[in-house]
Amino acid sequence: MKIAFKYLRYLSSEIVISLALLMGVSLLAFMLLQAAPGSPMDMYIQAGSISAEELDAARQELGVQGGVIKQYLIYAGKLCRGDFGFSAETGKPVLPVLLITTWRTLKLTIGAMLVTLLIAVPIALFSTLGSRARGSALLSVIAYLLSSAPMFWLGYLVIFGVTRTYFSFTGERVMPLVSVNPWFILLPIVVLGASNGTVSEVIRYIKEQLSRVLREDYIRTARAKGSSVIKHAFKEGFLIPVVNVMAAKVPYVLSGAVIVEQVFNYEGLGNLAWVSAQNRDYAVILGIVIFAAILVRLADLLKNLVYLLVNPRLTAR
Amino acid sequence: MVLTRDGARATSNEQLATTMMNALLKVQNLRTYFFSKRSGRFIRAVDDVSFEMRPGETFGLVGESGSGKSVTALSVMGLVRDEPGVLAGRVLYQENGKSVNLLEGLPNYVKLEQRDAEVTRLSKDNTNWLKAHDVKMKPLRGRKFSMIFQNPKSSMNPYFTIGDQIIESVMWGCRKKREEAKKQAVDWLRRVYIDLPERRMQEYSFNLSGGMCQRAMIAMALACRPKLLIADEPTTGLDATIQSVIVDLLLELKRELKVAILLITHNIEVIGRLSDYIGVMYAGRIMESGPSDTVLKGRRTARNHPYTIGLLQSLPGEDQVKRGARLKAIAGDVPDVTDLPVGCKFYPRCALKTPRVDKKCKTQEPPVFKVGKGHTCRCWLYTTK
Amino acid sequence: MRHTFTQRKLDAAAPHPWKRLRRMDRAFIVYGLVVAVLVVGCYLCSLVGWLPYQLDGMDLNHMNEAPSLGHPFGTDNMGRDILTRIIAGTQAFFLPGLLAIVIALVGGSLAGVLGGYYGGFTDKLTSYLLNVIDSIPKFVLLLLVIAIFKPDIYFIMIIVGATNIPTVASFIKGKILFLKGRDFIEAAAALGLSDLRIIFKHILYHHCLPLLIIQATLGMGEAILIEASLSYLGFGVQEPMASWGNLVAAGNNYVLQGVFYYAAFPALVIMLAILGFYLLGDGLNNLFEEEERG
Repeated sequence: MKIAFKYLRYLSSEIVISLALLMGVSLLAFMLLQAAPGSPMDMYIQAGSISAEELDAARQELGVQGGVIKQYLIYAGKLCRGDFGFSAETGKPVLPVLLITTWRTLKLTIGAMLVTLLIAVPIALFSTLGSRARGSALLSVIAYLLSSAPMFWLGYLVIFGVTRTYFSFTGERVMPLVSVNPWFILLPIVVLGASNGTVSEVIRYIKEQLSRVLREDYIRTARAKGSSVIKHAFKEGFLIPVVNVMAAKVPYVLSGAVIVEQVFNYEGLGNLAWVSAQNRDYAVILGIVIFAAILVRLADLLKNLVYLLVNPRLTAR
Repeated sequence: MVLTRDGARATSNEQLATTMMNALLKVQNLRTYFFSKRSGRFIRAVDDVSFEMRPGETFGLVGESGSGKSVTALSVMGLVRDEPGVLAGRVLYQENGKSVNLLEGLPNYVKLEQRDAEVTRLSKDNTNWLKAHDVKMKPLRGRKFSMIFQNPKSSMNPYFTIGDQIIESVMWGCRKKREEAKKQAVDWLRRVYIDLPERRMQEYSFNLSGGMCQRAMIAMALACRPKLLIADEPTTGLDATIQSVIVDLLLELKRELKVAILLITHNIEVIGRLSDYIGVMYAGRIMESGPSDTVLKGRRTARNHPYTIGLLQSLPGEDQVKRGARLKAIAGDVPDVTDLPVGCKFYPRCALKTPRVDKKCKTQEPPVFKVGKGHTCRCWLYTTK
Repeated sequence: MRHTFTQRKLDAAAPHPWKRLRRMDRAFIVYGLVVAVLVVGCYLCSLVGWLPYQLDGMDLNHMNEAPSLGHPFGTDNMGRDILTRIIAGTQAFFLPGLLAIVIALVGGSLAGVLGGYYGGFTDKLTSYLLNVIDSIPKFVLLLLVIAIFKPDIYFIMIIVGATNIPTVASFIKGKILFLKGRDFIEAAAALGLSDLRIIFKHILYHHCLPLLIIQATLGMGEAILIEASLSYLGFGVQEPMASWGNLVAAGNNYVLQGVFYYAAFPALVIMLAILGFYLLGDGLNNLFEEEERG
């Protein structure tokens, strides 16, 4: 009972922090929008000399009356109610589109992070615990090569290879591949996971943390009492570093998703961002910024939840 | 050629077996080196160390920090992970009349190149040696040997409760089922005078005081009823009052459980209270060893090593406190382990150099001389020639 | 694995940290330096105009030509020499990349010092702001900015620099807190040194310079990647300016016709250049660590 209360208190403070950060994100995006050269008011001012009254009337008409702070508060209030405005391009409400694309991107992102781990963890474990230095050197070079391969090129190669083998050279690029066979979602997942530029960093971090923990006094104790080193080092030396580094890399993977979705014509957040950036569809791209930030904060919350379950130092006392 | 503690020289395995007679553990010519990448030189942490322990006896290793006491203990347990690590020697463990060399096969992994009795170059396959050695040590660690460490707080895993860690030891050490092990763990906590043992079982090391943690660790180490307990600076870093509580506890448990203790400390008082035999270490060597009262006897009367004499003189004795006399520190500094003198390692700081042996001290390392019953010294003063 | 240890003579001088580095790390640094020199060299050459062919020298008789002695990387769809365009492509990211690096380093140092050295409310405020920046994926923020303002590479790189401020700041802050923990800063303050002197000379110059150099190196790698990616997506440098991303994008149109080198060479150049800066950064990191170890 008492422990449950502690969990709740810890988590709720984390949630409050996340909400404050999301507010900051929306404020930042809003301010950038204010600085835009082509704001709606400019049209009126450029249209010719107009009187102060006429300007006010125009403002009222556009719903941009009052100071910047007041405008932001109105905007933030709308966001809280789930009102993300209407797309300038399609005229439809933004929120439903955002929800669908976010879900699609989420699938891509989670899959990609699993791929990253699948590549990084064995290499990290092998080069920390294994005894063959030459093998681990080769593996880390491979990891470096993967990390620095430009994703758009790798993605293109994969698509090229698949169209060549699967569609027996039609000369046309069949897009999007997912519409042909749902399993083709694995292609962007693998490309995003392998070359989002984080593999070598993930390996480095897990290696550092694991070898640090293996030097801890309590691991020596575990050895001295004949217990399993793996059991004693698992939480601090493996689980926490993995969760930590993956949560920290979520923004990078989402960044990579923008490119991969574009290359694979996969209709997720990144693809939507690209389209609306081209169309200067402010409402949509603002929504995307906020949804991406929500994903990042959720990953952070998840990390904190794992910490809470794993590290007794946070709840004890 | 093997030097035994009483100075006799055994050359063959048969002789070895006879000298093993009633010993529990016999360490012979143990050598453990590290390598300083920075200066490119060997750190001769343990060099040619030999001693033996009998069941139920306490052997105290004393010396300044950096003299190689802890590394000796870690070498015996096979816990030296840094390269190059253990290089040579034997660790003979005897049980039921059978003795095994725990370092068997070590020469296959090590190649030494020596010049003037000093190792100048060596190569070792440490990863595979540790693997092979771990296989050999696995059934002994936590069953026959166990160990307690300095800094009990960092030596307990902060991710498991105290209870879980003790239960784990009991389950492995006594081959018990979890339920039974839990009962025993509580008993052990009570035995080391921890209040509310059931509640403490649920706590983590970071919630306990240093003294309490050390007691829990002692419970964890003894829970498997080992034949040999290695206590590496068990009282260092604790408050003086708690220090004496821990020493009393160890004394009591030693009497009750008849466990042999290898006690490592730089605190001569602690060693005086607990040990039956004492080895005085300096620069990786045991300079003097013998029954505890002989070694600690007198400040001048016994045939002691100059280093032991210096060490004892630097302590406030009763009469000195009364007279208000000044304490004598040993002159000079702790030696640079990467650059030890050629002859006697203590020569530069020795206060008892005499013209008779001065030249020998400078150029030749003294062998182990027998100076009394079970009492040996590595000092040219006691040469008969 | 067998390791050999050789005792050095007492009077021998200690080896340079470079000598103590693993052979792999040394190879990484050498490779990274070669790449850095090549990139800077290509940039300077294209600035002065020392190019094998004219940048826009179209030659309709030699379109999509395979690599030859005259055109080592072949020619593009308008008969322009691909090598020339790769060399000139360094202009697309080099100066903008430097701008991003300067912004990240200056902003990061400032934020790190505010957070680590002054602490308290300043720390809370800066770390809040940095967390806000960290919450937005880089490319999403870039697309927002591109949508609002025009897709100018300098402007994009300003934003890239800003998004790198949190990383640099957390390194600097960590270092300052470490130095504080060892009473290093208090000792300097006790000597009567002014805050500015301690911050600039002792903290940033003596203790953080290696970190800043590493971050700058990684920053250049990132600048290449971002410029290439955005150009590939059509938001970065616009034709007819040469850019590595544009070359790959244009070349991809011809892959299905069997003209693979048009895209492959620029793509390989991108990969090897980014690899060089990453390896240089990590290698230098290991070198500085080795140096710190003494």
